[in-house]
Amino acid sequence: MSGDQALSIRGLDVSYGAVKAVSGVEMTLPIGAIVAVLGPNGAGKTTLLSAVAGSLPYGGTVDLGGEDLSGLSIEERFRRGICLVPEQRELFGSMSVADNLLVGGFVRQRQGRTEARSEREKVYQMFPRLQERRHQRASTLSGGERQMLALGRALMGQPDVLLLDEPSLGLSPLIIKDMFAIIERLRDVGHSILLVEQNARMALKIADYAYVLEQGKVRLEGKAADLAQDERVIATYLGGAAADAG
Amino acid sequence: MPLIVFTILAQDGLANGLVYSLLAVSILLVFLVTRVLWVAAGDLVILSSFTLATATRGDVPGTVWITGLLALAVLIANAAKHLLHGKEDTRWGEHILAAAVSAVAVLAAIFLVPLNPPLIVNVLITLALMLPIAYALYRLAFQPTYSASPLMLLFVAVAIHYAFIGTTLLLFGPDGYRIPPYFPGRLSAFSVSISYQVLFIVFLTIVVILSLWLFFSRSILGKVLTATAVNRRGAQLVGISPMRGGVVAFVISGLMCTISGILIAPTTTLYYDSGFIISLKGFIGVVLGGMASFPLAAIGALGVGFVEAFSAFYTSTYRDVIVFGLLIPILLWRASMLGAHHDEDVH
Amino acid sequence: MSGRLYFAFPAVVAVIALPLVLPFGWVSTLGHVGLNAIVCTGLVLLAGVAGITSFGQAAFAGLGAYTTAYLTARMGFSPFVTLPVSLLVAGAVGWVIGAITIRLSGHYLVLATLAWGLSLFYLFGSLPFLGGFNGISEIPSPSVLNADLADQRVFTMVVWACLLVVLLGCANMLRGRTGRAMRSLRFAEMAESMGVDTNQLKLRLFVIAAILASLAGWLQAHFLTVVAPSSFSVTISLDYLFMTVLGGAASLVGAVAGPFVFEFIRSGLREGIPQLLGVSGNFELLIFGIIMIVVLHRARSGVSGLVMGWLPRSVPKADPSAQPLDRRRGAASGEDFIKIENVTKMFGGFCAVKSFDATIRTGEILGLIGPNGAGKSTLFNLITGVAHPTSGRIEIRGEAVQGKPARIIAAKGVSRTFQHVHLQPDLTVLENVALGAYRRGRAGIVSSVFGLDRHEEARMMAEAQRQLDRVGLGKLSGEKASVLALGQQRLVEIARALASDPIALLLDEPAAGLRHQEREALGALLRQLKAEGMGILIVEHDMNFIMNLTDRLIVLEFGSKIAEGTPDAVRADARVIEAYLGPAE
Repeated sequence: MSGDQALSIRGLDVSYGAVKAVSGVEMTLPIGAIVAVLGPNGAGKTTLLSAVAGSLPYGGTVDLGGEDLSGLSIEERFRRGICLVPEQRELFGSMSVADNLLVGGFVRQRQGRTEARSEREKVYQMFPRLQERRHQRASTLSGGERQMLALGRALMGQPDVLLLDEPSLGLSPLIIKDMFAIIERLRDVGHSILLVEQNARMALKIADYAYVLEQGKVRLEGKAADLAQDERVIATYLGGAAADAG
Repeated sequence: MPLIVFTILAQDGLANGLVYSLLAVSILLVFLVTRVLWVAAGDLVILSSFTLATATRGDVPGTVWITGLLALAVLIANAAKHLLHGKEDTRWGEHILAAAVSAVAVLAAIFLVPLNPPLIVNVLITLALMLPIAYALYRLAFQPTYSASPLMLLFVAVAIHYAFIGTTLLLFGPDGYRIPPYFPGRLSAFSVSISYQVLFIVFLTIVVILSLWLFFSRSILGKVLTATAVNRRGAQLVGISPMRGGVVAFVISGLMCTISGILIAPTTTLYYDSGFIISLKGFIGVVLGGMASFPLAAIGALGVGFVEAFSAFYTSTYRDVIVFGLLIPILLWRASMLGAHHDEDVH
Repeated sequence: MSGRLYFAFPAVVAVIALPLVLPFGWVSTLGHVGLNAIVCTGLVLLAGVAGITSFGQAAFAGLGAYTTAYLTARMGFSPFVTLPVSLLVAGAVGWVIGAITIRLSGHYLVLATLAWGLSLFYLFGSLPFLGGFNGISEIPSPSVLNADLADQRVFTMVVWACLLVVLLGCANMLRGRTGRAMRSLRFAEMAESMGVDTNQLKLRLFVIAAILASLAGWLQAHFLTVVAPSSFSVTISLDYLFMTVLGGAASLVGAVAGPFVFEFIRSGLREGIPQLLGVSGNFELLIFGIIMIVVLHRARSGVSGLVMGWLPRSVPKADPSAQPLDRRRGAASGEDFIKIENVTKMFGGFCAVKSFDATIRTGEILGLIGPNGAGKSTLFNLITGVAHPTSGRIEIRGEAVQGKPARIIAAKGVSRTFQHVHLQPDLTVLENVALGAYRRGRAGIVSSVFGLDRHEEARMMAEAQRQLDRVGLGKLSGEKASVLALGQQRLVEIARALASDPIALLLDEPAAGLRHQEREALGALLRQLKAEGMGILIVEHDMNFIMNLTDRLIVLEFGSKIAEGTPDAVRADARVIEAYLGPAE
């Protein structure tokens, strides 16, 4: 049944103490698709991604290509092909760009040095900017470069599923455009991507399908193209009457 | 001060300082990777030096008990985890390796040592006995609590320190140990004479530090370890378990402590409870390095050796007051630097 | 905590009488335990209350012991005279050491206490007039009515009587106004925002702990009639620390239970193991270490953590008839209360807030919105003094306050809530709210210790209850703050802010986690506060809520103001829509 789903999420509940941050979320990510998760701040998007990645305990099930991931740590999930690129990027600040990438590929290419190098070449091809900066410390990169490095480091682990949390956050509009083009290219080479974004219009432009979260629950879902026209999406961001204004 | 006194003090300072700096580097490594303030590092130094001292006398070192029992405990703990929680354990290879090293070391110690083998064999046996101890300590005491608060981890480390004092006292008695220098004699040049022993310490420390530097800057495992130290969560995100890093850090640190013990054995008389003070001298270096920089930590600890040697000359009664009193201005200086950079860290 | 102590006191009184009936060997143990419990009480105050782990308490005990030893044995003073001197010396040294180190945090602080402990220890051993490593002997022991302190039974009774007084005093202290602030020290940012000078309070606790250790040192010196440095080494400090961990640092009960358990394990091991194994040898430390590791793995909150659940808890209650607290002179509606002029905040090369201007007026609700990372939290922190602007000016009633600490700004009538709720989870809801009124009371440590603060306490509790009723949580006043739902916790924060009698109220996402009806109620409350003349700044993501509530909205993006005006105007602003949803093509 879930044969062509890269990821399926069933009845996901996440609580912080007595507070439910995410409740009863059902979501599927088809293989080779971009699925956007939208919603205002505090809707539970980041919490959802963290739970799926394995860094928060949850109720319900998360299925990766038919395998239930319950009880697996964030590292074990990574080895099974699911990789989170968090909002804070979490780079190895004092290490060089090249070393950041090498470490990213450690689990996958631990045997072969050459394999790791060739994987790194692929990442450099996708992000020529990183190759230029390869000797630079990660902490000295600009915001856009940091995001590229975070993505590149994730790719070194050859993940099937990428969980991207706010990849456009803090980037200037021009770089945001590039970033979304890259995300589309990642889909085209076969990665399945769950994309959490606040920048709804951009996200809907590249996504195949989208969910809108509000207060931890799925409020709307549908084909991205349809939701792009749906005024209710704007309403969740700017309040009830926004539709008239927009 | 006459030149002759100066050179003697400088050599004392250099010999002890270099050992402290090895210790400082190993403490810092453990701290960065696991957040443990490894106060029992000095106890490992003591144990190593006692082990070698006993072995060179042709007696089987009591360390075989520690190595053997800890190896057994790790195996039992793993089996219990496997049986009770049904957790699949993918690290059997590692366990078997550790157990095998322990077994070989214990057997070698029991059968080879009484034959009065050459020094180098005793050194190897000491290393083989000590490394599995560091490994087992992490597995038994720290791995189960790796997510605990740093303070809890510190308490666990202090509890281990207690256990070490007790064990060392039990196995080696309250007497001090000191062995004859490995290389007696002195090198004289330009009216300055340097003992071969000091030269040997300098040489070996340089070798250890260099290989450590190569390990971290060249090998992928070293880079992975650095990455874990720099950003734990980042490492987890690319599939690297912080516990793996912890094991590697503890074993490397164990190796360095063992070497420190071997180096310090001929220069200072040590007692079963000297470990804590030795650790603290390493910590002064660590703090000087801002708990982040390896070279600064090593240089700082080297400085401690010199301060200790020269203050012992001028005012031997206040030597320790001066050494530990130094820690306070250093802490304040470091903390004020931290404050200055705090705003950037927030972002 | 206090109610449990009423349970504990009869036990302590019984223990004081015990030396009269117990066999001699036990009396000695009991005295030793009581002595340790006095030091551990100080450690509970430090580690459990203030969050400072000290590795140097034995050194303070040493200060007390050496002071009296020197003055009595060498200078011929009477021991009764030296008691206050001992306490004073330790207190003064504690004050100096504390003033220097207390600002350190985390590992630096731990290592600093270790460094002090070691330095003092070596100083005891090396100062010639203190007798070097042999110490001072032939210390006279004080005696009253034929009862000599060197007598084992007398000593034990005196020790436990002291312990009783110490425990009572500490319990009283922790219950009062200053005690509430102390118990909030681990949440320093929150406490500062309530007007608490956290560093000063930590320093006081540090001094109190030093004095308690010194009291134990004094008692010990006159009982043993000798002092030697080895009794005050870092190893002994570690013992005290382990006793406290064993007992549980979170409660005064742990300070008594810990030394008991510690002694039980240690002496049990010392005598039991050789019998059990049939071998003599020093297994004690080895097995003790292993037991400690197991305890740290399995029972981190110690003995008191295990038994606390069974003991009854006294819950402070509010007496509605208490005289209300004095109120601040209110502001006229429409006054420009806080003015923010050209404020910029840089983090390294990153500009979080850029040349920002705004005015917060009384009698008005001002909303602050913007996408994630726009700089709202930073701005909030700048206004409340948690962070300081790189450039620009912030005025409260015309007085420049940029660069002033949070507690000064709080004192000027600015009260806030937190995006991530900051309540003291172990205090009751009522006590949490009463903390908000901290600045409106005066009772200090001394009046709390002697119970002279009853009247003011009643007024504060009544005020707290009044504010809780106002946010609709009056019935929950006796619950622990940690059991409340997040929405309710947010409301408690608002009540706490109101208890400070503010002129301006700054709310950071107050509606997050609230149910629909609760939101309505919150909206009604805020409107009422506005009508009473309060100025309100609110950061919120629930747009329906904020659009209906505010008089004026400011929209931030990338640290700059991109729009300001009425909700309707802002909602229609093309730049605002773009900021939230991305550019339309």
